[in-house]
Amino acid sequence: MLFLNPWLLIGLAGVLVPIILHMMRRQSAKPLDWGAMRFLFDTVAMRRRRMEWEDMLLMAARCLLIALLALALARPFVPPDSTVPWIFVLPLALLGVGALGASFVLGKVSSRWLVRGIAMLLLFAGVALVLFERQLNLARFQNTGSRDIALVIDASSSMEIPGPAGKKSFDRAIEEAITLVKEAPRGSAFSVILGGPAPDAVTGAPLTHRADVIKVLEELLPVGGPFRAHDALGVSLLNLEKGYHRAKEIVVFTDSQRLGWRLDSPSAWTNFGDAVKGLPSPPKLMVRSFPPPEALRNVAISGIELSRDVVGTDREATIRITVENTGTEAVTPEPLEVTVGEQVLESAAIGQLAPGQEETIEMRHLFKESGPTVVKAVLDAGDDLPLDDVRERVVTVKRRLPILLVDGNPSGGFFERAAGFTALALAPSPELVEGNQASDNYLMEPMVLPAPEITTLKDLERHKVVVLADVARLPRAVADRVAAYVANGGGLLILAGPRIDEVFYNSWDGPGGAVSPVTLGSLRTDTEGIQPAPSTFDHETLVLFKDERKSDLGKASLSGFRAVTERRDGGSIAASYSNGEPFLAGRNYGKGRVLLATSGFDVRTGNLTTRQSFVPLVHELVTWLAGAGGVELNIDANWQPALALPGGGGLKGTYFRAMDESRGIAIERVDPTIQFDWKDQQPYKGMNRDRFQILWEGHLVPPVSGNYRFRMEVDDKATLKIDGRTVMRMVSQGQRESGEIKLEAGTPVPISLTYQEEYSYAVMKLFWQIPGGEMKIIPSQALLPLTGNREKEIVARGTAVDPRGQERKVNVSVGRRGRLLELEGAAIPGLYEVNIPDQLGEELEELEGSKVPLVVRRDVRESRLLPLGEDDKALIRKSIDLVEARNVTDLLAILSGKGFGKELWKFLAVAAFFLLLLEVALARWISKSRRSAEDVKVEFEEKSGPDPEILERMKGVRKAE
Amino acid sequence: MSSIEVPDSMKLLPEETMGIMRRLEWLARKRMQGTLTGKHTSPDKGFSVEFAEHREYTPGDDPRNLDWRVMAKSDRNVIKQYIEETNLRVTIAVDTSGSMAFEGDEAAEVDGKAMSKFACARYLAAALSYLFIKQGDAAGLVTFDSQVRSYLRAGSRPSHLRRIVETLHEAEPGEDTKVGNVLHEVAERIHKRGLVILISDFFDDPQAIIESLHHFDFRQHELVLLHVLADEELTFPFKSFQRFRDLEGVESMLRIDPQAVRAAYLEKVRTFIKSMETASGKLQADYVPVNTKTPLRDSLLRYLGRRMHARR
Repeated sequence: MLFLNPWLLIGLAGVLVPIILHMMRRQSAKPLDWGAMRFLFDTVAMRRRRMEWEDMLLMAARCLLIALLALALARPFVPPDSTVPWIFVLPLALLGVGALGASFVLGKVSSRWLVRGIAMLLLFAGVALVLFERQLNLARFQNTGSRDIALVIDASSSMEIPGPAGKKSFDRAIEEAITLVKEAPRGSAFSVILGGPAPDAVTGAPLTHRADVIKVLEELLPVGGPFRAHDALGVSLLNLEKGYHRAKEIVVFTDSQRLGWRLDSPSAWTNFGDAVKGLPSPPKLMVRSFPPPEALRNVAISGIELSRDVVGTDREATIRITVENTGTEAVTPEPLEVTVGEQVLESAAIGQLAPGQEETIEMRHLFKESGPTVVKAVLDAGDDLPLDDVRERVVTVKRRLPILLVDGNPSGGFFERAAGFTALALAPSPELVEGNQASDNYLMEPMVLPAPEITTLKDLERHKVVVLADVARLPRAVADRVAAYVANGGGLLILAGPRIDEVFYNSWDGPGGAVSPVTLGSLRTDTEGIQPAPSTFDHETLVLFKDERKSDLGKASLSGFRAVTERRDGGSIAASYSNGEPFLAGRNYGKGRVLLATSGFDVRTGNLTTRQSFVPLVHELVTWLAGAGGVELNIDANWQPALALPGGGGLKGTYFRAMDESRGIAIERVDPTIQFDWKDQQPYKGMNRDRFQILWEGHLVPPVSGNYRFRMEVDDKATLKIDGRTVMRMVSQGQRESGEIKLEAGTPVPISLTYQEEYSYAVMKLFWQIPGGEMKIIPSQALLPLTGNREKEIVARGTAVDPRGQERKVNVSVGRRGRLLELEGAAIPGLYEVNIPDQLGEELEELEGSKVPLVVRRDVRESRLLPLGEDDKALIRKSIDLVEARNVTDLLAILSGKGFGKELWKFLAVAAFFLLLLEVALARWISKSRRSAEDVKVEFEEKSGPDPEILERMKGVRKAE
Repeated sequence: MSSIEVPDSMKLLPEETMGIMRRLEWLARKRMQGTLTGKHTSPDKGFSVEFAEHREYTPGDDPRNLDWRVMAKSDRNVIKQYIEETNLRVTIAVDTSGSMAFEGDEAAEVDGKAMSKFACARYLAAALSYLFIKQGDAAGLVTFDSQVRSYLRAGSRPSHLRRIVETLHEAEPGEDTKVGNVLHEVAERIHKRGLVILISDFFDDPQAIIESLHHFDFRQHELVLLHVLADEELTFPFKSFQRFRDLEGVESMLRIDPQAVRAAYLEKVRTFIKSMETASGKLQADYVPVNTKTPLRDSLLRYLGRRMHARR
């Protein structure tokens, strides 16, 4: 407890007034020689206790009354985070005041001093605690005058919930922020940060001119999406750092939702704490909270899921839409309207949803067109937060799913071939097997390749899934390539039949570590046959087959299987046989996925291939594997919307007009590969056909470790430098190969290629030979157009339209994380339309078109409105001094150095008032009960008057003088 | 006024009192035993107006009492006997205990200053002594506090009055009263049946007092209680804090808010007076409340008037 007017505490001395009055009354007592002591003593003995009590109460009430008034005038307040439990301490201290007063009334000297001692003890304790509190809080509420203040305004969706009087929390926040700016102490400078999915530093360095700040504030609009408070705070620190004032503060206007504060990551807060300490004076974090109303009507569409990852145009997919009541009241929404692309589906009715209830609506739909398709669900619930009544999802509908089946036993009869049944299962129509197409839109496009031919395979990367059907082993180079392919987003199905060489599979590793999810052992046979146990089908691909009434997989009998000796890190057992040995194991590998079956899918292994469930099983496995990779068009609302694009990019090319830099640069661009044959044409408009120079720079990312060779095909001159060393230099037209260069997998090394054209034809081609591979053009995936120490390089620009219909800039950049398509601005949840820059068109063929929909998913937690808890605040407090303000007055009070907290004067004044009433009543009652004796008369008189006769006789008696 | 020097002690008998007393008479209610003929009916048959019986003349009898008619008829010398009006033996017992020293502001003034209870008692005793001796009765005086301080046997000579008055004059309020105990002693000392007038505030355990009063009754004394109280003791009019000092010096000082105890105190006093009054009624004793506020003259007149009235 601290005091706004501490000097008014002098009023506490007023407590002495009733005490002194009492003492004076006692002292002024006149001595009286009294005869009838006997009666007095009897009376007093009888009434002393009660009298004492009455007097004590009265005295205590009077002292307390004055103490309360004095305290109330001193305007006490309990500062936030006060460690002293004032709610107990204050009454105790007041009790001390009362006891002190009462002690003066007590008759017995011993008890008088005892009570006085207790009273003093309580009072001293109170004073000591006030001083202690002062000590603790002095630093926090120092008046440092002018300071930089970062105003962070939560612009998340939930701030659009109407508060009291129907005003949105966001509008209230803006109003209060403006008030704060207007009334803040002179010399304050403000920086405004609009907090959404990405913090938007509306003003950079803190501004001193208030009108400017107010103008900025007035123009702010809610962003929507989550409020990533932790990031916003980070940005505020950066902005505060730019300010000139030594003192810094952060003010956050928020609804105090837990989402976005990164409370699951204590290390993030530790880092933040370090940053806070880095400032010249650590700022306080003042949080003005606008909690959502107690009664909230809100229904949110919490998710749109598809039954499988890969959707084709050939079969129906199930769309599952989850609707959740995140409010506190039951709501019956209007039917759910779902549109797929342009097509409106039949609306689905939803019954009443109790608070917290979740409902899933399933609808089957056949996607007719391939390419990214938007599924949009709209719910008209008329609730408090309409933003989350809409949800979109982009489904990349595939026209073709190229699958490469590598057959480990191509020489056998059809049924004995390792990949025969699988290929058949993928393309069950006889026409398909023979290469004819059953229909235009059939999804699966299997291609069977005999194992020996795999070394000649050129377009491995074109396939979505590779099936190694009982392939004994892969050549080293192919194995590395396949591993890199999976790590890049491909799918791999290993059928570990009898032919495989477990030593190869167990030792097979690549960029993502061991490829196989398990370590394989020897082949085991079982003459009675062994069955997969559907009860162990826990993998998502096997959900269809778990129910034995619907699936006959459990009835399949296998004559043998590969024992599994160990599960690898990251691998998981997807299904087991009835004897408990693993049947199917899976893992995520890099961006791709791997599945391993411990049995071959052929007729020699058992009758699995003839089960009815075999075809759907293969489809499920393949579609799951194909689900990885590709461009994910549904992204989370983090920071800016960004798409991870496949590929690494290429090298940054700087095209000079002359053979030196004298005539300037014609263009700078990223060339995916160095594979140019301009003949006698100019390489770029506005350049000469001859006598020019091009410098390609960037980094080379080796996919595997080992010795690499490079080859150049040049007309006319070129110099290749890797890691700063000149590898090759050619001064005339021709080809040349370098020696072996040892490179480390995944470690980018700087590469530069200077090319000069003199006359006539112009050719520049750059090849490499990776360990175990053949000499080929360096693929763009292995090239990063990053020069020097730059983190990323913008390689293409485009535009996009965000959910609010505003245009945004799109940058395609290449960095260490690969290639990213980033939209400027915060990731507001909703549907974006991205115009893919031309340069990327070819590479993103699967997106089919120059306009790609992009959905930033709305985090349903934003609708759930889970508030910051005490533990959360405790975590934040470890990093920064968190002060919770109840209103803008509190904020101003802190800024003006007064401190604030729970002001107590009203309570004290009310208490004083009641005490006054009590005192009056008590005094009246006591005086009445005492005065009641005033009327008491004691008869003590001769009953008759003097006899008249006697008076007659007395006549003439001389009166005494 | 008078050139004759009046002794200080005689201030106890002012002119006015004597004037009043001269016009009054005391009439004993019970039959008194006395040595002189007086105004009181005596159990001894004497020579008086009211005939009682005849008796043989023996030499020494007053021949005036011979019944001449009987002698003439029967030649016997008989003497007419009358119920004798004896003179009254009165003992006035005055309480000189500490509590009697209380003088309230309300008390009537005598001799230019407020009269303490003790003073009041003294005046009363002197006036009554004067009355009795004047009318030929014998008056004695006992003063007592915790014990009998002085004892003057009843005498009827005017000089006795002087002794009484002087004794009264010399008396000073002293120690604590245990009226009950002392009264037993007083009762023992008065041998002859007579009138006992107790002048006191009777501040003691009422039970003890009443017992001692029974003692007087047992000895067939006629008892008159002059209960002297100050007005303050009856009304407890104090408003502000007071330090009450015990006049009898037994208990220490008491510092209290008088208002807080007033009701209870008055109740105590009332009960006390009531019990005294009731006890007096039972003993057929006269109970005379004397408030020092009332001028002495009025107190005397009221009581004596009542008594004379009752007699008729």
